[in-house]
Amino acid sequence: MNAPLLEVSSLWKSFDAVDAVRNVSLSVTGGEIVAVIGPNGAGKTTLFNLMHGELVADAGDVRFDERSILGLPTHAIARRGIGRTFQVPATFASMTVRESVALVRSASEARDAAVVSAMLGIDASSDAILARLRVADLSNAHCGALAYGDAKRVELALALATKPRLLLMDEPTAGMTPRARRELMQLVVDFAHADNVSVLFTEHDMDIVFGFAERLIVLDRGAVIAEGTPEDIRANPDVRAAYLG
Amino acid sequence: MSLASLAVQLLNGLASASSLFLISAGLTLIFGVTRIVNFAHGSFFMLGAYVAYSAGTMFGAYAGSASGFFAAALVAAVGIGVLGALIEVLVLKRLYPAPELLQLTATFGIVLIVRDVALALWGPEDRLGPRVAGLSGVVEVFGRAVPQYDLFLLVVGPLVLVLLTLLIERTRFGIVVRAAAENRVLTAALGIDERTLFTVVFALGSFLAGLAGALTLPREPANLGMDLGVIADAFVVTVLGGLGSVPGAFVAAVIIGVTKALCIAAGTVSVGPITIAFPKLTLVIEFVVMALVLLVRPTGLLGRPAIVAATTQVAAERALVERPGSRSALVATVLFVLALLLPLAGDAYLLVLATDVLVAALFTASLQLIVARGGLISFGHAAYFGLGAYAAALATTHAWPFPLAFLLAPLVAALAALAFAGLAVRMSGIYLAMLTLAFAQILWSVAVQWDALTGGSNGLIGVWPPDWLAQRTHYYLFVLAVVAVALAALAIVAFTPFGYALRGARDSALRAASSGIDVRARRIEGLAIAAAFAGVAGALFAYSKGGVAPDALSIPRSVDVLVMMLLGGQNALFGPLLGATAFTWLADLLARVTEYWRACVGVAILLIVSVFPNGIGGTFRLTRLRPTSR
Repeated sequence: MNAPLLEVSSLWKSFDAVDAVRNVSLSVTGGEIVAVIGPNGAGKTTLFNLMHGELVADAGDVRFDERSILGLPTHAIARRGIGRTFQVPATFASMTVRESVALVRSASEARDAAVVSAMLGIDASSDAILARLRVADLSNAHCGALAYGDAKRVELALALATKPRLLLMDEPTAGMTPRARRELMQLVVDFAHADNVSVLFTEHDMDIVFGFAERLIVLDRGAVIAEGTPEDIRANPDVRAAYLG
Repeated sequence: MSLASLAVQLLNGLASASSLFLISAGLTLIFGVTRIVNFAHGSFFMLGAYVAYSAGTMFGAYAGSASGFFAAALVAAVGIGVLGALIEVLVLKRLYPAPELLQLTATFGIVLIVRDVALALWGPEDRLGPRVAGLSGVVEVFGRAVPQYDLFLLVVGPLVLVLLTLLIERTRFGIVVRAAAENRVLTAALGIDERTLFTVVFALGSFLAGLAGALTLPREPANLGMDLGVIADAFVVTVLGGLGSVPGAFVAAVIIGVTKALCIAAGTVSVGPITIAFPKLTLVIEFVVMALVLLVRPTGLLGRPAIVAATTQVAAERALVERPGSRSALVATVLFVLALLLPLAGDAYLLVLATDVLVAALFTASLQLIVARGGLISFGHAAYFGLGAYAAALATTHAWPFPLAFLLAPLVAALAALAFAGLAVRMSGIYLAMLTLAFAQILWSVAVQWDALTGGSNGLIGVWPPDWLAQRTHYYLFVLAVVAVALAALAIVAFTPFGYALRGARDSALRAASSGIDVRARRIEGLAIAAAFAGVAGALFAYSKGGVAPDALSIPRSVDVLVMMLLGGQNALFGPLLGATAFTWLADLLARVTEYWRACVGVAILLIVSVFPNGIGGTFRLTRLRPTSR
């Protein structure tokens, strides 16, 4: 196996007296789809925020592409190639969908003429990514007025338009119908396989987790209690006790 | 400096700290519960002083009755409390769901109205306070005379702190106040009537402001400049103490009061060739203290992050922004040609007015970049306008050639913006708005106090353009050319990747950073660009008036430009031009009809905010917007 794309080693983070993340180590290789699961308060979101620069770890290291990204600001981490979606979709409310995609591309690519023309609304590559995520018909829609499910997919388009090599997704399907959940995850997985993007996501819906993740990491009270393929995890007595019940 | 004079100055500083605390406690209490920063709080303070004056004459306070004075102070405080409740019910209730920018601007409308009401009722002369019988003497401290009244004030501050703390910690009302400050939604869910609570808290805060005004009267005559004079100090104290924290306001008031006293006690100090007049630097040092504290504790001394988090979220502007296109280019060209032909009308006054409009339009457009696009509320944009004006004026009076003097303006303004941004861009929302105001107010006081350089309150005169621009028509055409280019540049900047990044950071800082946008850097650049354009407007202004006075830096000027922006429409392409034209023309018209034209502007502000939040340009758009759904 190649060197891992993302390598988290012995990460610690405390808030006041509470250890939110305790000695967490994990890795993700290129193109891999990994789920982080655990009960509420297990430290999933804290872990994501540590990897993405919103929080600074007390100890440990996060390496991406063999270089430490610990302590870098979020925008620098994003430029290294880590994209992110949030539990509550974050889009640019005052722009059209196409303008948003163009903006995101201008931030990650050189500010060339193509991007400027994208700003002015004539741009094939922005439309291409929208088409791949099945939101091409929304390209002239106003982000501030999108329906919830559409906003989720537009956010995904924004995250993927920066051409990340790793996508962090925090509860990507929260608040959606079971059918829409599967559709969204299928889009993600297809995109990831086609472009060799690794995906690390948290999720409460076990059908989604076991249906789409190639490997699972189980967190409980800030620590990793198990790790393995979906079959391993299903059979693991510790996990059953802590979580799956 | 002797120990004795230090002790006396300290007592003096603590006495001012007391009244500063009374004002700030009300402001911070109101903010903690309603999340409104009330600009009019200084006006309530001023009215408290005036009402205490009038009631004092009735109750015999001026004939030597101490009880008459205290009765008058009580009447003033209660009266202002009732007035505050009335204003809350009639005006502010409508504003709670509005974005912070509109709230702040609306409360400034109240400032303008109150000031003209005070002018109508009490006239422009200062109203001297009574000598309070029994407290009018002096006490010997280290052989120096300290007014007894100062010692009385020194006791009042801590007393009010104790009473307020008991009220907040020990009563049912206090529990509700704390709960509402903590979590509004939950409080409402518990069945607490928020509407009544807000009114009561507002009345209490106004009562404290009125009381502070009344108690200040024996030390300082009631005058029409008290409102804005005190609000900048009160903002500094509440931010320093932590928004919403009453004990924080107390600690901060003491720090500020003592710092000022120490500056005065230090006197003029010479170190080698450098002479520093500390008494003239009180406001600057106040700001430095605040800056240092905020660097270490961004939420103030006793401020709680939770409260800040709930307020720094600038209400997302959901409206699409009007984009330049062929149709707007056509409109712009037609307007430009019409403006070129204006001198043919042969009306000298019209040219003066048109020059004012153009300068105001550029100033407004620079504000639009940072507020409407960048989402950073600025209540002190006049800082950059005034700096530009002063830079050009100073260079001219020092015989710099015109082009260099003119270019110095944007440079100085941009550098000041960078210095300010280094500290302030970490903050957003209300904290930032209050800091921008404090920054502008400090520059204003420097301009007033640094006589040798700035000419003090008279300002600088004899700042005229060179001979080739000396004719009114020529200067008008020069302004037209500069403003046309600058407006076009600002309109285009908003639609470059940089402009989009700025707006993206406003819409969602989270998404912007996740997309690789350096939000902080873009905001600092945005502020510097906006400041540079404001500086150009300031320079054009100085040459058109033949000089510059401190009012170029004043709070009313900062608010005028906000009003012009709101009037024209925040997201409208021609908003700055529309707003500047309407405002300048209306102000000119009103000023010729009534001396109370400022109050009319105040009423207009309240109307804009409550009826036309999108302004003229937003209500009647030139170009059709893109569809908003599939």
